[in-house]
Amino acid sequence: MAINKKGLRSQIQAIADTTHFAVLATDNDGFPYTNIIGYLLDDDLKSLYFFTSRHTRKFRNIQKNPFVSVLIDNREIYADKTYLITAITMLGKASIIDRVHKHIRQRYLSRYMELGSFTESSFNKLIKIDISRYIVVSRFQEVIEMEP
Amino acid sequence: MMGVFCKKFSEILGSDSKICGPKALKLAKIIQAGFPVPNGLCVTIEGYRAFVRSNGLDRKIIKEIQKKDIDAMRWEEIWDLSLAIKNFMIQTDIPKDLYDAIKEAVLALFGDVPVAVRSSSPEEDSEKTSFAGIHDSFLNIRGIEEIIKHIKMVWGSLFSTASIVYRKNRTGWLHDISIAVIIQRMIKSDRSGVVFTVNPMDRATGVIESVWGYNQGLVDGTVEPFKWILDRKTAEIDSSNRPKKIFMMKDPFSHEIIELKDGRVPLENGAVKEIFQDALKIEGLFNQATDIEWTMTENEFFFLQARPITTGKDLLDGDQKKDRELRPDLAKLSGIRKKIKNEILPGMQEDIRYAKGIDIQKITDDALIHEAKKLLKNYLRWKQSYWDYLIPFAHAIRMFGDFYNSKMAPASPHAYIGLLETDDLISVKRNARLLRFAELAQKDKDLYEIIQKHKSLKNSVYGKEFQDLMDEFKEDSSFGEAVTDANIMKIIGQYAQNFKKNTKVLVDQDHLKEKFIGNLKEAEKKLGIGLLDLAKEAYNLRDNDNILMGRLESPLKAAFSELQKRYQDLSVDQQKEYASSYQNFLENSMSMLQAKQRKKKPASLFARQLTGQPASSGTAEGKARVIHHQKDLFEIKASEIIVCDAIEPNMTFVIPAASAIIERRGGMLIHGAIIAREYKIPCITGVEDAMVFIKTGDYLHIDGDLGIITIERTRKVSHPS
Repeated sequence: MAINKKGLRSQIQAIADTTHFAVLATDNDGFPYTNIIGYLLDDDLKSLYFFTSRHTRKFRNIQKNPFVSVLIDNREIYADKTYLITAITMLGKASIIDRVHKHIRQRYLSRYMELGSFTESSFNKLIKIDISRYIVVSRFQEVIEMEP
Repeated sequence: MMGVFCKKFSEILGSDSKICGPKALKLAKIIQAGFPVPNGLCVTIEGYRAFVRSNGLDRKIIKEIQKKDIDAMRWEEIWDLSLAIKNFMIQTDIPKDLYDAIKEAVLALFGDVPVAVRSSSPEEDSEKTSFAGIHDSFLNIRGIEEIIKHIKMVWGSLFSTASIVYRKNRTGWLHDISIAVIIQRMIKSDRSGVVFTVNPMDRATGVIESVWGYNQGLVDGTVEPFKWILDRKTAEIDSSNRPKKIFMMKDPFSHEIIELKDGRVPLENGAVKEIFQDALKIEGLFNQATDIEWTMTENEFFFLQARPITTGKDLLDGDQKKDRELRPDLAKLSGIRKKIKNEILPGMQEDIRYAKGIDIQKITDDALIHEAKKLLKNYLRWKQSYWDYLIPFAHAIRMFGDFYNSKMAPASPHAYIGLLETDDLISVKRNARLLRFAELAQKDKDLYEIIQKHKSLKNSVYGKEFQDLMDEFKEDSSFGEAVTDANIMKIIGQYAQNFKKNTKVLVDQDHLKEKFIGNLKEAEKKLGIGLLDLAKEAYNLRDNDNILMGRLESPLKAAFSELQKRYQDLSVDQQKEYASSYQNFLENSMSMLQAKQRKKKPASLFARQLTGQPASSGTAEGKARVIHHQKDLFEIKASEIIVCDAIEPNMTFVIPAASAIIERRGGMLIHGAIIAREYKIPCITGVEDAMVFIKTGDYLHIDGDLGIITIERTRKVSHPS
């Protein structure tokens, strides 16, 4: 069979490893609201982390409604080659983490070395998203849903 | 721009290898060293690149390639892919600067004389790979428009089935490949041959082979050559060998071969030595063992191409082997047609008649075992013929498709099928009888009720007609005991609910045929008409051959089933004989619905949209009916969408009740696709995971034009939607 969980997992992992940013969608009082975020995806694909200021709109949105959606994709690599692009939508619930585990910070900084002071600022919080579902779109129209 | 896009042989330098390909480079070296080579030029890889970058062609190619994982494609699907890409190429105009450059170069060098248009791939002719014959060459092309068209066809052959199969196993990547094209003055070959400067069997010697006429017969192995072995040091002839029968390829396109009775040898010994001496000098130019093709007119001699003798073993994998075996060949196909028409079909019919004459219930146990063994023997014999002749004969359809597209450049690569469709399919005729009952039931309330409640029709006015229908079904179907009055009534009942007047608009085939033939040059007409004729017959046979196999299988199943009933009364020896024959049958049955290992859907994985090959256009929506077993066929409800591994001709009676078909098996010419087009319902084939992800009852949306299936399923969600 062509589609299997192992293959999908490595596809997701590969895109997370080779692309830098994700798009986060939150609920802004009933309206969709999107941002670019620097993120870290856990190896088990169950959680995604990012840092944000406590004063941002996305932070406030998450406080009101923790259900979010995140998009990652490889369009940076394949530019205009529509049929080679894979897009991964994650659905999940965000929570605000008060104590940042050293291990998470280190891994986050290995992806975003320039953001050391950003992750340490008292203004900023670590957000963890527990991912409940992946929607993987490849070959332009093939759509497979997966629970991590 | 001419210098970038076109280079004359006399201008090509060693540093041009990357843009001209080694074949052109070698010819240039040979000509520059003073040996006779038909004059020519190279349309460089830059020309190809400019072409595919124009009009978004490169993106269209990627789109086709990415539609499905190449490793999951059957050879037949690769053929469809190849046809689609080649058609893009033929249809796309080349950019004006490229057109002007080629026109200027061609007119300056050749004027209006006929030329050969050949591939020169950067990957061809290397010592490690054996690309020979993978890309196309065209002979005897005349006039700038025809030359341009054939350049596009050589570019298209970068995506020939052979090339795709070859590359997917080696480089695995089809995206950034390119090809140069050689245009050379055409030589009308009187005799031709090949020189191997080193004999692979004995490195102290070399070999010359020669045939009358064109080289194609020698290269593809259909014409046995005269052969000389020469000493490399002295260029003296060590030994020579002549073929038992002398053949000549008269026409390299139709591959027409004739036998020569006069026994003349194409080369005198003096000429053999002279060619070998020149070949050794050419070998010196490249510093490697070389094989060189040559040709002669009545009074001129030419070297045609040189390439290194590949040292790597030519190991063919399954697909490549198949691709070689199945390469279309008009003469071969005509021979197959004759055999099918005169021997195979009448033979099958005779064995079907024989089986009908056996009264299985009445004969003794011994006689029954004897008959079962005989029926099995017949079945196995025809099964072999099916694989040896009937399956390869389907290539007549593909050969015609390629020819049609190269001449007509149609908007859809599969337009040629319109010329082949027929009302003469056995399965369609049988369905017409079912449809007639459905129509009657719509008008006659009593009949409708009988059918809906599966009551007996014995005493009604339709009794005899229904019995006839049942008899035909029992004879045709390989489902044996599943064909009951009640089951067939179930199907008619569903037809009646899904009944639409036969609104089928037949394509005006006469008009299409006229247009096609009108578009051919005088010299091509015979070939075009011959190919169409062959393809029509092959298309018709595509479904009917399976029905005949079903008719051979059906009495065999009945005989085994009767033996099963009598099992307890059989002697031990008889039981053994029955068991071994039955095992042999199970292993060889062509019925695809035999118990198959079902693939399980992985937990926590769901398909929302699947894609496949659009094989019959239109859109539909409805509940899925997944066919895992024979019994599932009789459960179909009107307007459901059939999801199956593959539609067998014996299953097609359910199609008029359905609103669409989805098949795991891929291709435009498989039974499901043929029958879906016949009934004008959408069909998507080659959906690798259809049977895994779709469950009976799932609500589906089908786009038969794009090949997209959307699956609606109600399930618990852990996230608000």
